[in-house]
Amino acid sequence: MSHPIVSRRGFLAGVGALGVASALSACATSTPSPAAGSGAKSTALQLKSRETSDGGRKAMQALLDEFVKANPQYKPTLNTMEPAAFQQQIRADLTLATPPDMLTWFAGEIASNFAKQGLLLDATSAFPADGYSKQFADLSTDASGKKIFVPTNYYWWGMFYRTSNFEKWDVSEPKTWDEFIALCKTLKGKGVSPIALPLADSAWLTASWFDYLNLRINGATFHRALLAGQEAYTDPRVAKVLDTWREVLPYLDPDGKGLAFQEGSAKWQQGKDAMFLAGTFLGDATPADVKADVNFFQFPIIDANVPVAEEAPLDGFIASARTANPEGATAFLKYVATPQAQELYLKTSGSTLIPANSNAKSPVSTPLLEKGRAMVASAADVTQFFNRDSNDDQLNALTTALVRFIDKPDEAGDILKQWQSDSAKARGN
Amino acid sequence: MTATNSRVRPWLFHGGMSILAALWVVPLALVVVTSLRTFDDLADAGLASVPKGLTFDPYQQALESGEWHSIVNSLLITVPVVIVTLLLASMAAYGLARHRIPFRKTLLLLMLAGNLLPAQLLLIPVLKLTEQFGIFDSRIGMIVVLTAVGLGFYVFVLHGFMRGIPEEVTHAAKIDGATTFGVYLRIVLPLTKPAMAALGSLAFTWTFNDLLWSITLLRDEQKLPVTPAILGMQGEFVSSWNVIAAATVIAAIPTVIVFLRFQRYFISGLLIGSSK
Repeated sequence: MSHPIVSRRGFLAGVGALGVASALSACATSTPSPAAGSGAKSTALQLKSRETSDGGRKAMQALLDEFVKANPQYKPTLNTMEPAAFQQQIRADLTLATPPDMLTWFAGEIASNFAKQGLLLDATSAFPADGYSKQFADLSTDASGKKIFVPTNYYWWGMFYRTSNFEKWDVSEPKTWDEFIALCKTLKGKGVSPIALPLADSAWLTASWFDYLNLRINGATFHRALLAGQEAYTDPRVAKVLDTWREVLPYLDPDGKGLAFQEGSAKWQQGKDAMFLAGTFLGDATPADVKADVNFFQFPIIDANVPVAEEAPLDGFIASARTANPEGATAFLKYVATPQAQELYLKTSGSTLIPANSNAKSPVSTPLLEKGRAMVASAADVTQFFNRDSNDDQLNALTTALVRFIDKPDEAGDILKQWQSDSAKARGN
Repeated sequence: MTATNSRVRPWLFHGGMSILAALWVVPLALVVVTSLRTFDDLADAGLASVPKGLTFDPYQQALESGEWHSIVNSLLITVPVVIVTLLLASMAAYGLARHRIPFRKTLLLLMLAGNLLPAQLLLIPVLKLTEQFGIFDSRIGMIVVLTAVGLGFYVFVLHGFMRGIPEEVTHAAKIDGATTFGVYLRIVLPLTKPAMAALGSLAFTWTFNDLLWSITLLRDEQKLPVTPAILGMQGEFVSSWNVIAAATVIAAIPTVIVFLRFQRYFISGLLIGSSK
């Protein structure tokens, strides 16, 4: 009776050994295969996009179609992924043996980190000699001086309001912080909630307030050093940012904590909230007949001696270093850097964006767009946005701190200490 | 005292249950109502408002954006997973429940322990493995992984159920000359039917509603099942909630059909394994 059991064990051991052997051989054989395959299918190019909106999809496809007209030897395909999933997948994507060749991405710390790990294709040869401002060129360059990113468009942040509502309430755009506080007071007196800040699904919006207050009070240089971990959140200069913000807290919509971004923007659009510190995507969320009524003003100046910096998040493309077709990917990057490509994209997508190449014209020029372009152009410095200038872990530390601050504005000292420790932990030291 | 008590009680019970039932239904009703509104109406008045009018356009938009295709993808993954899972799990459970296999307790515990591991821990290793085996970004890969991930749980539950089958029945079949496989096929499987039906409908729901594995293991838009496809309808800042709600209602139809068909087993299935 014991004999069959032993043989069964032997059998199981044999099967196990076979399994391990086949797994190992699979490891050994599959690694070189992409290199072998690269010669055979080097005409295929995959663009992975996170533009899920209807206009965005069409615009990406239009770019690929135009690209093929000039480069018929390539066969590009478009693959669209929802932004949150895209963000989650990109690290894995760039390390795949057969990665997507080109990807939509944004300028900032995360791209620089990818470049540091050698995951991005050198785009220096695709980067045009003129057309990009020095700021944009710098944002596209990694630590070693290589271009790793090709910017195509940007948007801006501002205090958005509806022109007809401001006329109805008989108020005008403030320039300075004191005027802004006075405006809030007037609006509240008229029974209007002055500032929208929906936090239910978009606590990251608090970062826009922190960014702007810090830029206006302490300037872009300090802001960058703080985000890079060279300065601490326990610094008295950061405490001053929170002190200034405390003046505004009574004017925030008290329901904001429970509202989703879309509900908050609906409330702002109905005139129940007067102002909304946001990017141009806020206007894109409004019904067609309201769009012409959407207006904005620059974030008020707090200290006239601090050089004015604006947030202008820059979007564009990167290419994977492991692409099987580096020539094709470079050709595509070269194409999207041209004014024609950027105009085509903006015309098809219909979003409120400004082309990054200064030789490109906005295909649909609205007063709002011109106002935004002028504001960014006159700025002494340009930042991206908190998480683009640092990373998402740092953003989590910020939202934890600032949401708590909105609830308990008197515990600023404690909150900043916690923030510093969270931030250091996320940085890994 | 007791007289009033027995008169008040049913009222309390029905009153309380009505409130609970209403609480359950409210989110579902909200989704259905949202799916019948226009985007401008929603953007103008917000989600929590009285609709200005109702329209079926969102459903049309959802279907036009290729939702059928992704539902077919979901079924192409779900149906094989359910069949393969039940087949393998019932065989393994039969072996473990009725045969003196060395280390069977350890095996069972290992399967149970595997279930206690959060799936998030496995994401990256499994992604790398599927890449090495060349089944990354393919439906086969999804089927293999989803089957493997669920197997431990199903074996554990079926094992408990099969141990409840009287030994005399299988012994009698053996005496009549049935082979081990014959006993499994002719005796154990028919007796396990209720458990299999309950687990089958559970497996269907879980696999059909899986999102985590599909966004980890699939990249090609053409292969995406319905859950990530709906996720893909969300914009970074703005989403057409009405279309998403309509797509969600459509995506719920297959699971609702399966549930209604197997409802009887589903409820009895909740008690599976409770009596060892």
